[in-house]
Amino acid sequence: MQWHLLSKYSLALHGAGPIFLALSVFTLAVVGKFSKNYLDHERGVLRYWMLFTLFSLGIILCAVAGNLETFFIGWEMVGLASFFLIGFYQTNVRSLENSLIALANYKMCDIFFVLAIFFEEAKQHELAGLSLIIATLGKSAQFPFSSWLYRALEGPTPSSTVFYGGLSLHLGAFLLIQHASLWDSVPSLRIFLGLIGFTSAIYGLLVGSSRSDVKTSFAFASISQVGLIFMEIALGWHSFALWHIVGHNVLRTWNYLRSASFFEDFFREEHHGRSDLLGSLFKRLPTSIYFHAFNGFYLDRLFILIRNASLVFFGGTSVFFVIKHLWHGTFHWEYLILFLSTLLAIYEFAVPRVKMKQQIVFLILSQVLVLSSIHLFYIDLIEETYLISSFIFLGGVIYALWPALKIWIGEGAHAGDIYLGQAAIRPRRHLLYLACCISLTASPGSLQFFLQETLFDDLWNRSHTFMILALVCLTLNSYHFFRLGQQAFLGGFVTDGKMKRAT
Amino acid sequence: MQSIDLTEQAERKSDLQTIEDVINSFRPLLPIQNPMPFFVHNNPLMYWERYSFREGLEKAVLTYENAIEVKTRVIWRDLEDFVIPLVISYFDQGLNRWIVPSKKKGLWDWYCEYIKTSWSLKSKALPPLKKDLERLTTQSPVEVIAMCLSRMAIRKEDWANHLQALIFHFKGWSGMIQVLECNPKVFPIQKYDILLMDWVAMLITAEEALRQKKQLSGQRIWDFNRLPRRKETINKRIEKIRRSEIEFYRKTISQVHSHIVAQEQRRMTERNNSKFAPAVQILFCIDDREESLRRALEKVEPSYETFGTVGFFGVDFLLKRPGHVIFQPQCPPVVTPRKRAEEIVPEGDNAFLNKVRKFIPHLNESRFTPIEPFLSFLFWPFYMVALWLRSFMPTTYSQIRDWLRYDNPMKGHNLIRFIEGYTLSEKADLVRDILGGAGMNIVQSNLVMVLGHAATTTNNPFQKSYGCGACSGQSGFANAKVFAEFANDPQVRSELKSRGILISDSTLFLACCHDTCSDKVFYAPSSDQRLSDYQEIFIKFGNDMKKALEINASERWRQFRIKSSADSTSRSLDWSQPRPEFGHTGVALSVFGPRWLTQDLDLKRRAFLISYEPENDPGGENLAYDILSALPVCANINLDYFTSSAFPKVFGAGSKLPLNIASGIGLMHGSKGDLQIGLATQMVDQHEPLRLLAFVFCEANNLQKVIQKSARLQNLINNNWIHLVRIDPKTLDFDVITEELKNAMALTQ
Repeated sequence: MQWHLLSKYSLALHGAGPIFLALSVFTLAVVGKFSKNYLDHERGVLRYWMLFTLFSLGIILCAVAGNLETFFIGWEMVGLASFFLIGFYQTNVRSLENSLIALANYKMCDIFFVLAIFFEEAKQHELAGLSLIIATLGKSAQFPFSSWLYRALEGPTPSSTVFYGGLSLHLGAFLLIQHASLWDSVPSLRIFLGLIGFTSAIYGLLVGSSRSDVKTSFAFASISQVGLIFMEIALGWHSFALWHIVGHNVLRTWNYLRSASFFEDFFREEHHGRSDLLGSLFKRLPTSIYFHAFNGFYLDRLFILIRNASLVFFGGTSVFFVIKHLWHGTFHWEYLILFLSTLLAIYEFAVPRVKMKQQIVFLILSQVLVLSSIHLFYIDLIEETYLISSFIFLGGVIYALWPALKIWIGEGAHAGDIYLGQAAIRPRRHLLYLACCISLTASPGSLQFFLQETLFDDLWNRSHTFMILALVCLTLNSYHFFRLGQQAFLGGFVTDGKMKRAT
Repeated sequence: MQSIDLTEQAERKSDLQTIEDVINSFRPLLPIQNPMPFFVHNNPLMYWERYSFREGLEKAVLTYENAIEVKTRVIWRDLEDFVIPLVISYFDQGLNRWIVPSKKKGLWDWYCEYIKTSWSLKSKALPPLKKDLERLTTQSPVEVIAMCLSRMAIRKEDWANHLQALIFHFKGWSGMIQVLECNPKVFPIQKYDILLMDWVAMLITAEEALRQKKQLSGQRIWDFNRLPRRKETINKRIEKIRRSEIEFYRKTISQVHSHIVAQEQRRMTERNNSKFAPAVQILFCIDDREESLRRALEKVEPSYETFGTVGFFGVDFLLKRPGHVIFQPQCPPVVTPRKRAEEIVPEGDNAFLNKVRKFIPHLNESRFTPIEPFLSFLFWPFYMVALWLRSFMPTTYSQIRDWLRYDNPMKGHNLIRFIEGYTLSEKADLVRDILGGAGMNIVQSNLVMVLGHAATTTNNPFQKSYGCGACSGQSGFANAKVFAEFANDPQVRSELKSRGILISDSTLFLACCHDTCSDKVFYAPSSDQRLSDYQEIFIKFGNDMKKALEINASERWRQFRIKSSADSTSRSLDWSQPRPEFGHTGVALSVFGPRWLTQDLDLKRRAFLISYEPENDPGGENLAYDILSALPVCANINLDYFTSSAFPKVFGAGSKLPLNIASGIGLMHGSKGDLQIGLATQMVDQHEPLRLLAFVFCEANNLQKVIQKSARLQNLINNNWIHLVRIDPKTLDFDVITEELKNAMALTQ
């Protein structure tokens, strides 16, 4: 095994890259100028600019990425910035919860993205293409992963603009155009993509037409248009789709930024009573469809069902994995450890929000176990590898344990009966925790990320299933780390009796 | 057996009566706020004016804060998720393409139909509701409320508390529904049947269903344990405000007093010199933002005489702007408009340009039209250019946009055409009220400028609160034009003579409009012969005005922490600016009296100046008109700012940045949540909460008579919601009328 940490990353302007880069720079300039005045004298401006910069870096990295691995770094940065900006108002519980929903979706995309990279290396084109398409569906909020989009509009208007009106939403479509060779040759994938695009277009149209607040209806209109873009991509009209991305991005940026001027055109003749095709079409539909559309065709619940089903599937796989190796007599202890950590990671979804200590215990156990299983895998390897893997192990434990223990010992501020979180009194500790999270969960930019990527490369060659299980387990844990961080440091959540102490 | 039935029935009936009584008792407590398109400044504490200031404020804060028990907090979010989107969609004012016929049946039936058709997958509340559907549809909302209350095992004596907690958790929507039920006229476009009872029934059924699911039946949702602690903090806050108030009042009163004495002495010496009629007289709005402009203009040219009168100039009508679908009031909300009018753009000769102008608005509103993909495909370079210009060259953008806009209210040549006209005597009455009220019984100057005001802001959902409050937030230009037209009418003038107002034939009234946000003045063109005679005076006035506007612009930002004198005028064009101007920030004073009282006194844009001349008004009719039309408006504006800045979390709308427009009626944060009431943080963050201090320069018995006329005014003054100081016209003594202020002044002296 060789450690060439940066060798597989490359930057190159190719394909649709230059146009997307120009578009990104334009949109970022306009929205940046807008934000400058808009967030003037607002609490948390610095945080906003930090996240905006992170997003800009990510989106530009995506535009100039030479290959999938590099694209993934930008992709992750965009996701992370998005998560933090949805939860920009840290005392608003709803925006924190919605940011978690978006994060869950992004993490799902990440798993498929990484799988696509590995399948591609293994020359399994069908699987690589399918994984890539699923990853883009989540990022671009296409059917059936659409329900998070309108929930994500909790941040300040310019951040909603640049993420869900503009660039971030089109990142999936751009990825498909940029790496068309991965899936283009498989006809069934193209049909699948086209069908998904068509369904999303209709879905966005129906649901958006029944929702009646400005930003939500923009969100569904975007889903509808991105659906059209996906259809164009499926048909093979790539440059057409690219210009559609440009047009839609510019239009939606305009719409979102001026969404506050709704009342300016509210009484205009053009706004009311114009005869149009859709209005008369809708009139013929029965009312029941209206209500189903209003309920978003139950995609919220479907998302949870999919999540639970895949968790069960994932747990089952790990059981099967262990049994198989026992059967064949190729059993290693690390398999059992991985199995345990997997179970813990899954069980954590069932731990209620208020039981913070339980969460901490499970999370740390699970993380330690998964890291040590990877670590054990390398125990028979050469010394250099061993050293580095134990570095990861130790680093992980320290990173995870220290802030977690601090949460356990420390207490947050209270306003009346509402727990305001530790960030209210110890903002620096919150920052430290986030830094640990980012590093421990191998978010791009941290050393752990490059190490983990290399390790996974190696794991992949030894056992596909082991690698996938470890990947999913780590991703689940990273979701839980962010969730726990919100719970402990940010406000508004209800706590159990023990956490509640009078200030 | 039968007798038991009968007693049961009687008990049931009394239960229903109790619930109705309880809900009706909450009605006056709910926030009174119109839908955003008809926003007017209002005192959110109108109901509590019957209590003394301190007691009322404390009660109001406690009611609105709505102490809710912790454990059930989880339910509230589920409840919001379930109920809020439903009510938003029900009240849709034209955001949707999809209009459902069954909305016409009323909220309750619509809700029942929703439960019937939806699958229980959607929410945890739905399965129990679907089970109960038959009972929901057959019973009336009140019966449903009684059923839910008894099912949740809530004791009868706790019903009021429970309903209060529920209603005030959703205070924004409850208040809005209450307003819409009582006054369906304020529905912007589409009217829907709505009853507060339906809304409460909807809330309580959903709550009961969620509790069943979470097995929380019987738990209280309110909690009075926090009350004493809360009361303490509220009282501390009020006490702090009062201390700063008293200091300010003391300083202001002594300042005004010494100034008036000095002015009186100067007048005594000047009285011997014979006085000429001024060349130009200017009728301003009473608005506090015009105070600095008046001061600046008098400084530039001391011979100009300025007057303050209510900015709708007595012309109460509904106006339809060019290209709009509805009529909007051009008078204060307390006045019922009598006439209707249309604003007409003189036809341009370029037919193609007109077509382009008509097409432009389509580019902004394209959601869910089949043309949207084509728009984004064909017109994206236009959007791109627009984005760039609007962000980086806002001045150029706004010039282009003004050129392409056909309904710019600031354009001078737009005509006002009445659909139902005023009669001659109505016109004369209206002009008399304004001129008499301002003390202009004899008008001999060459030009009388009628200066309305407006605020051009862009991308601002609170636009109406920046406009002229006396014109319901619209631009006052239309009213100025109509008033000038009436006052120029020779027939009206001859009619006015019998009403005691003399206007010389050589006098010309001209309409103009001050944009308080960009500090520009727009003039309405006049074809009158006299104007060419006065060309010189007019041009000089224009130049003087320009100088005064420059002084005003630089003064506007002086009092604020935000340093921005250079770009203060360009803020109005900036679409990213959450503070295009500071509106009524700082408003604290109101002066009823002739101009000389406060002339040359720097009131720092904090005062409403209403012209009143006690010499011309022995009977007190003019005083009655002035006070009754202006003082409640001043109090409303002041108390709106007061509450939003003193208790921003309770009465304010929070930050402007994540605001989202719900169903064309109100504003909410993010995708779900209650409607926001009050003013945004960005509008009040420079405001120091102070109650209004009104100086009235008049006879004691006249003032008494006026106060006796209005019950609300009595409440406001007796309970210290505003402070009133009378200045005696003869002795110039200050007579503090409000009890609280009197005591405080006595203590400090």
